[in-house]
Amino acid sequence: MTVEPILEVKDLRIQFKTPQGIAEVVNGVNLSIAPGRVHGLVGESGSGKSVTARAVLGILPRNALHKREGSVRFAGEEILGLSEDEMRKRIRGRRIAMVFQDPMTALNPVMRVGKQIVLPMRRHLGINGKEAKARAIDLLGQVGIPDPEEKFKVYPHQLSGGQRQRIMIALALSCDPELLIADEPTTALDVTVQAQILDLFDKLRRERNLAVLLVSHDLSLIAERCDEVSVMYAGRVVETGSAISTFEAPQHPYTKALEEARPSLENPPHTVLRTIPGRPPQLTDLPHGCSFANRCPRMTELCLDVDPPLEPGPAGRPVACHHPVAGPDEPLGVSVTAAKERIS
Amino acid sequence: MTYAKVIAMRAVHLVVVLLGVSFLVYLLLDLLPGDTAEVLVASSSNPTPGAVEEIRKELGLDQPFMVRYVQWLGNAITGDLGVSFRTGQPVTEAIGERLPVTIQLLIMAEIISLAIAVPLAVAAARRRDQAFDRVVSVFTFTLQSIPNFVVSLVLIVIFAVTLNWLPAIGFVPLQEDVLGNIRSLLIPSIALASALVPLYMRVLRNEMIRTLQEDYILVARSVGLTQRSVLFRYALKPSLPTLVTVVGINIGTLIGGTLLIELISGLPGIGTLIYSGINNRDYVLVQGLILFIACAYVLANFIVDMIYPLLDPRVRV
Repeated sequence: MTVEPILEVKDLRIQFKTPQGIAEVVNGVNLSIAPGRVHGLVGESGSGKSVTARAVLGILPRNALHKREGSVRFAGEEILGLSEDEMRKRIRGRRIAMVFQDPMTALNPVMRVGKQIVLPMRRHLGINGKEAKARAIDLLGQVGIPDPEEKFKVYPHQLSGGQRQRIMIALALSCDPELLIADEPTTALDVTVQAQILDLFDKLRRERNLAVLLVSHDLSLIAERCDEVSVMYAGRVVETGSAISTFEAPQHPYTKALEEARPSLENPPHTVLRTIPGRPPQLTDLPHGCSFANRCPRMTELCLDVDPPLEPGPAGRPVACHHPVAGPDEPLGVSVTAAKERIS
Repeated sequence: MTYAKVIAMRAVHLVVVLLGVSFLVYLLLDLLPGDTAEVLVASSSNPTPGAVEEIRKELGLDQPFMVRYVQWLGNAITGDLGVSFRTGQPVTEAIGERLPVTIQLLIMAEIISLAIAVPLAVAAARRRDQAFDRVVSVFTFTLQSIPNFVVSLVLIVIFAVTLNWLPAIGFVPLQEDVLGNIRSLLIPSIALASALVPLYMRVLRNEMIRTLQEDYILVARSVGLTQRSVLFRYALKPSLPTLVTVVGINIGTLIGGTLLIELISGLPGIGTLIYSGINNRDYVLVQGLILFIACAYVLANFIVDMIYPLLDPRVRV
């Protein structure tokens, strides 16, 4: 059974002007999300996951260059080239909404929370203040805020972090969007509150058949909460597929290394965590070939010359690697130094 | 701390400041060279021997400084600032007659400055570092470097003398003719505003730029609010506190500015009253006026302080 994806990103490229030169922050990203599914976008800081998320809504920072290549199709319509005005009127908040990382700073400190939820509804749904208020109070109840009528009138600083994130979610859901982008929605919260917020996403997704793009650097969270996952590295998706198989049988050496760098409760105490040597490449000066090559124990000369395309790998899921890991038991390789010596 | 408690604390602070101000005002004029009694005798038509001593006694100038100060302060608190040497008019009455003109002038100047500076600052912040922002910056910088009495003269030459749209000098009371009253104060209030617009505009522009980088602005954009909503409903209010502070601090400068402007435009306000008081060495009048202005300044800032909690609920707790 194939469901028409609600969001389809193809070969998206975004560049930023920085003091060091042009940074290629997003470098040919492909993504596809079906209604009612949760798609995880995972990668380390600076891998371009947040920028990809923001590009879908067209709310990039000031220093992003206007030239944007590729395609972002939403419900069958190309939205990458839409004007600011069209995006504001028809897409943002109306059909695609976003939840941000830090609920402490994401709400306007000098505006009552109720009004912040009411404003987009009045704009998008054309309803009057009274209807909007009733809807907002109903929403606050749905996202698990106790005393919604009282809380409608308070200012953000009177609420806890978890409650503010719930407010933020109510704000995002106020106009019944079809796609929810959550950019590190629980990173700033306590672990117990994290679970509650993620459960809330899950409930809303089921009730509303909402598609969710969950951006996070937290592998465990992504593995636990997502149907599909895309792993990003240096502005590219290097591996994608169902969350279970991606983490059980990673094909890309980066995914595999990430898996191995993940602490597990089954490890005996004081087990040394594996890390990935080196650091991600400078986005202002990307290498010709594979951007992971200089940290990869499987690196060969081919990797330095040719950037591998995202194609089905040994496990059938797309992977961008010349030498993918064949199965869960195959070792990653000895070390990067050994690989480098092999070449020279 | 509750809001009431904050106000009470500020009020105590206010009383202490006013006491200090009154003492300094009294001391300052006491230390000025020139003996009031001698001046009065010298200017009378037929000075008699011993007249100086007589006048001294009459005015209480033979008493020690602290005694005179306490007496003067006690009277001032009851609203009696003494009687002008020259005109024989009670100082409080003279201030009462002149005050409405100056207050109206100040209010008009503030309204004009804010009405120009706020939209300009918002527009410049939105187009930060682009052509519009740069042009506004150069324009306001130029404006700020011209003293406001020069602006006033230029405006009189253009709009009164050449175009004959507005009166060059004189004042029409509000009760007589509302439109005429506003017309008579237009040039002086624009001249006063010319110094304030650049200041307000720059302060607010910088605050707006800071606010526009906040996460909640990104959120406002992400829910599809119009640019206007984002700027005016979301970003303006959190950017205002600094502007409010600057407005408060500048009330003093503004009152000083009215002195020259009132003279140029021939307005019967506090400024011209001080001017004639100083010219006539009418110390009682000048003393009363300075005390009054200092109180007005301190009070205005007290009111400004009370505005913060209205702008930011976090201060209210």
